[in-house]
Amino acid sequence: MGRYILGRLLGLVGVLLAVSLITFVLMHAVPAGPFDMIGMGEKIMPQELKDQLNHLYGLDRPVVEQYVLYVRNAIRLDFGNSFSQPGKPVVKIIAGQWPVTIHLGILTLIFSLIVGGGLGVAAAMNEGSWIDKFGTAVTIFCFIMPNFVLAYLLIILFSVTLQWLPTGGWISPKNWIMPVLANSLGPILILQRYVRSSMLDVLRSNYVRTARAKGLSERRVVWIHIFKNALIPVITVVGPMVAGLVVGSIFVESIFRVPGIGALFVAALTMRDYTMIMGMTLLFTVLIGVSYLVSDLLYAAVDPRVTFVKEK
Amino acid sequence: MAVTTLSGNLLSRRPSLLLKAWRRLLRDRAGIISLVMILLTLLIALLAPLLAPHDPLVGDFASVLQMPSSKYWFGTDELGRDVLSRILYGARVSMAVGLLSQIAVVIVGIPIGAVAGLRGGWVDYMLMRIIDVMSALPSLLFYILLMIALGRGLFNIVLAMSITGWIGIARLVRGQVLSLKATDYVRAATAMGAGSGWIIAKHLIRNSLSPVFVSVTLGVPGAIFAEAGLSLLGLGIPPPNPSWGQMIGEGSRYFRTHPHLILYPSIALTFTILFWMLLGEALQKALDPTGS
Repeated sequence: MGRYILGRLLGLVGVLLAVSLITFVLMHAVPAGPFDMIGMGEKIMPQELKDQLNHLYGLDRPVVEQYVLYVRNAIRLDFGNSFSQPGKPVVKIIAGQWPVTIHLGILTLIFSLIVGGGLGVAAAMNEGSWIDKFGTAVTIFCFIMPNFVLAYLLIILFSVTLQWLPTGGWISPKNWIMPVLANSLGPILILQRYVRSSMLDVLRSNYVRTARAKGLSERRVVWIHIFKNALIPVITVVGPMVAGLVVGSIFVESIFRVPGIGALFVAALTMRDYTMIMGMTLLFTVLIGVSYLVSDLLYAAVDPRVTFVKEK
Repeated sequence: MAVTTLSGNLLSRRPSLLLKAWRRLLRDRAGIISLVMILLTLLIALLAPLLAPHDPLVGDFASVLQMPSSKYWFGTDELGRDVLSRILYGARVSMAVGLLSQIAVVIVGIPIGAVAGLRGGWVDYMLMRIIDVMSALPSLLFYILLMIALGRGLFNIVLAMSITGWIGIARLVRGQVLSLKATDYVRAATAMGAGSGWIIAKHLIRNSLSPVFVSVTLGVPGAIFAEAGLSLLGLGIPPPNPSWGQMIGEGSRYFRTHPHLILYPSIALTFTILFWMLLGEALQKALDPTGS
C-alpha cells in the first residue's frame, strides 16, 4: 500500500516535469512576447524599454537556463511574478481567487449530487417509467448543451427578460444560482448515468434477490443491501469530478464574472501573462493528479475486493 | 484446404457485420432522423455560397443591429452583417473541424494503439507513459495552450485537436487488441498456423471496428463543441470569418438589447451536437444488437 502510494506520487512528479516542459516550450514558441501586448492600440512600447523588461524578467537568457531556473523555483512554490500585475507573485494572486472557485465547486457538487444522484436512483428503481425517461432526457440536455450556451440563455431568461437575478458577480446567494446551474451540466450527466447503471447492477444481483427471498423488510433491503453497494462505485466518478470543479470552469466564471481562478486564467490568456498561465497549468495538473489518487485510495478503502498488490 | 474454402463460402454468403449494422441503423427512428439531419447540415455547409441570402463578411452599415425581419430573417450584427448567412457559413467551420479532426485522430490513433497492443513490452510501456502525461491536463486547457502557441485558424484547430485526440482511440484500440488476442478464436487461428498479418486483417481489425466507429461519431460533437469554445475565447477562427462559437462570443456584448445574436448560433450549435450524439448512440445500438 505504502509502496503503491509512493509509486503514484513519483509518477505524478514525472508527469509534472513533462507538463511543465510542454507548457514552457509552448509558451516560448508564441510569436508575440508578453510586452508586445501592453499598450496595443494606444502607444507602442519603445524597444529599449521592452529589452529592459525582458532582462528584468530573465526573458533574454537562454531557454534551457530559464527552464531549469523555473523548475528550481517552482519546487519552492515560487512561480515568479505576474507579467500583467507587476510585483505580485503568481502564487498570491491564485491563492486570493481560489476560495471563490472552491465555493462555486462545493455548491455545484451538492446541487449535482442531489439532482443527478436523485434522478439516477429514481430512474433505476422505476426502470422504463416516465421518471426514467425524464432522467434520460435530462442527460441528453446536459450532453448537448455547452455550458457557455446555457450560461447566456440563463442570463437572457432570468436577468434580461424576467429581471429576477443579477447578470453576474459573486456577492449574495442570488449571484450563485445561475453559475451553479451552468456549472452542473457535466456533473449531473455523469452522476445520473453512473448512479443509474450502478443501481441497476445491484438490483439485479443475487444477494438482493436472496435478501428479498428471506423476507427482509423492503426498507432494509433498499438501505442496507442496495444503496450501500450501489453507491460505492460512484466514488470513482466523484473523484475526477471534484478535480474538475476545484480548477473551475473557464466559461462559467468569465461569463458570470465570478472572480475565481477560471476567470483568472482567461484574463491571463488575453494579457499573454506567461508566468500566470504556466503557474496555473502546473497547479491544475497537481490538483487533478492528487484528486485521482485520493479517489483511487478511497475506492480501495470502501471496497475490500480492490487491492493494489499485483497478481502473480 | 477444404476447410478454408468452406468457411470462405460461408463468410461470403453471409451479409457482413457492417451491412447488417447499417440496415439496423436505418430501421432505428432516432438513427435515421439524425442521419438525415447531419447530411442536411453537410449539404448546407457545402452549398453555403448558394444558400446565403447576403454576404457573410461584408455588412451593410445602414442596417446595423437589426431585429429579425423579412429582409434579414435572423437579423443583423453590430457590423450590419446578415446573421443567417453567417450561420450558414459557420456550418462549414463546425463540419470541417468535426470531420477533419476525427479523420486525423483515426489515422494517427489506430496504428499506434494496434502496435502497442500487439507488440507489448517497452513500446507499450512508453506509449502508456505518454498517454499519462497528455491526459494529466484537461483537454480544453491543452487546446488553449496549443492555440496560443500555434496561432488562430482552421488548420491549427484541427492540428491541436489531433495532437491530443489520438489518445482516446489509441487507448481504445490497444484495449481491444489486448482482449481479442486472448480470445479462443484468435488463439485457435494461431494454433492452426495463421500468420500475424492474417490475424490482424481477418480478426483484429474487423472485430475492433465497432467501438472505433462509435467513438469517432461521438468525437465529432466533442470537436465541434471545443471549436466553439475556442472561438468564443478568441482563440479559434479569426474574424471576420464566421464560426458559431465566435458569433456567440461577439453577440454577448449586445445580448441585453439583441438576444437574437446569441440565440440563433446557439440553436445551430446545440442541435448539431444533438444530431451527432443521437447518431452515435444509434450506431452503438446497431453495431451491438445484443446490448450491454
